[in-house]
Amino acid sequence: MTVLILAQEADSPTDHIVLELTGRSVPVFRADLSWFPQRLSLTAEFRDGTWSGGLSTATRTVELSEIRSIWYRDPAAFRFPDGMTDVERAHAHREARLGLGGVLAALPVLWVNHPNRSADAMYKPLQLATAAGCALAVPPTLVTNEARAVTRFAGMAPHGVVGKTFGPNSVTEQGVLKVAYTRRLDANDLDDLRGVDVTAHQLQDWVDKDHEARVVVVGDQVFGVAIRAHNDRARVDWRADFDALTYDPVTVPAPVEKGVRRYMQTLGLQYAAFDFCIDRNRQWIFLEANTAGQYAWLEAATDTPISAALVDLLARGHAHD
Amino acid sequence: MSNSVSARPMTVSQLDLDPLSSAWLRLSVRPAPATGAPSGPDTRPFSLRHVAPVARPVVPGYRFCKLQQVAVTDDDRGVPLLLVSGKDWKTKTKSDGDEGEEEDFGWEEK
Repeated sequence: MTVLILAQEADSPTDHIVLELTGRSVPVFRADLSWFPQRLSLTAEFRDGTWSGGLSTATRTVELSEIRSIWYRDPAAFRFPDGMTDVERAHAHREARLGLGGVLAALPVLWVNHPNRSADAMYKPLQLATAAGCALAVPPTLVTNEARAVTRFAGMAPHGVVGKTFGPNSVTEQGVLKVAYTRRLDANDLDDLRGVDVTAHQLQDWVDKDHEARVVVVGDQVFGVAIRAHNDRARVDWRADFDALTYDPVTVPAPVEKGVRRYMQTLGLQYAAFDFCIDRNRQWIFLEANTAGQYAWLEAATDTPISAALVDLLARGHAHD
Repeated sequence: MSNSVSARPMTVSQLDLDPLSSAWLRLSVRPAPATGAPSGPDTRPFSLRHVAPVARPVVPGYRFCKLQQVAVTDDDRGVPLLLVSGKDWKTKTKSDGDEGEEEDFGWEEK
């Protein structure tokens, strides 16, 4: 039985998993979807109620019936031959997505994670509601395109508010990559709220936190790593200054662990990286959960065996021991 | 599909055809990053007011080894990059898929 890994070619966590699986003599078929259709081919037939056939590259083939699990780790988009018109290319994308994606979706295998489950889970307002429904503490949050709502919401927050994006937080302008980090709104921001009205914005009560934690869930295993920031920038958004962070493994409180397990079950996930604030009263407060959240740098810093858990899960092909 | 929709230029992955579906956001062909300048205070989203320039992640030179199915050093030795650069060498490079250059760097998520 084979583990199918769909990932980009340059991805160190994927390399780690491939080498670990290979070391355990678990067959692996790794491909990037940018290889399809020029370097990756599919032939699948539906007969007698079952899909058969396989995926092939120039050097490797896997039978569909041999696939036990699929790790879907942010592969690149399909790449079609030069010379197609935009119309042909858009058509080819749709057909590839629904054809190749459809065959894979029809296989009775474990997905980590199925892209449709991940897509559902990327709505942050849904994340907050799901977390609250799983008995996790969630900060008051505003979604609006009305400046007066921002003013009202900020006025009610005991420790002020932060603004954060719903999705990927980077843009490139004039060739410069820029990132919109989570930001505490100050008086100047609140005095000039132009631009709030042009799209949806997310504001959240600032949590007077002691530190933060990332909780990585892999199947039925839960790993906690405390993230401690040592300057003001990183205290607001730890992504803003990785050099100012220290890490240590942390035991996830039982009610929080129970909550994240329920969250995973509710949204049909096998992998997620949860971010929590831990306030001065040691309460864990849910911020968000990323179904493709990074973990390798935390594993490298703390020896938390997240990769091993992923290898176990993919090799096993089902969620529980 | 109405004429007005089909007549639109097919540039931004047809996101507007299904505006509330997160699945479309994740699965559609993503637009190439814009290279233009910011607009102005009345039209620039408030959430972009304080964007900060950052360096692009550096990916070591590599080639993909079909036998080992991992990235290896781009030399005659072909040593797995993981063994040379450690577990946490920068992961995602820009996509080389049909979507063109993409701004999906692993460190930006949270």
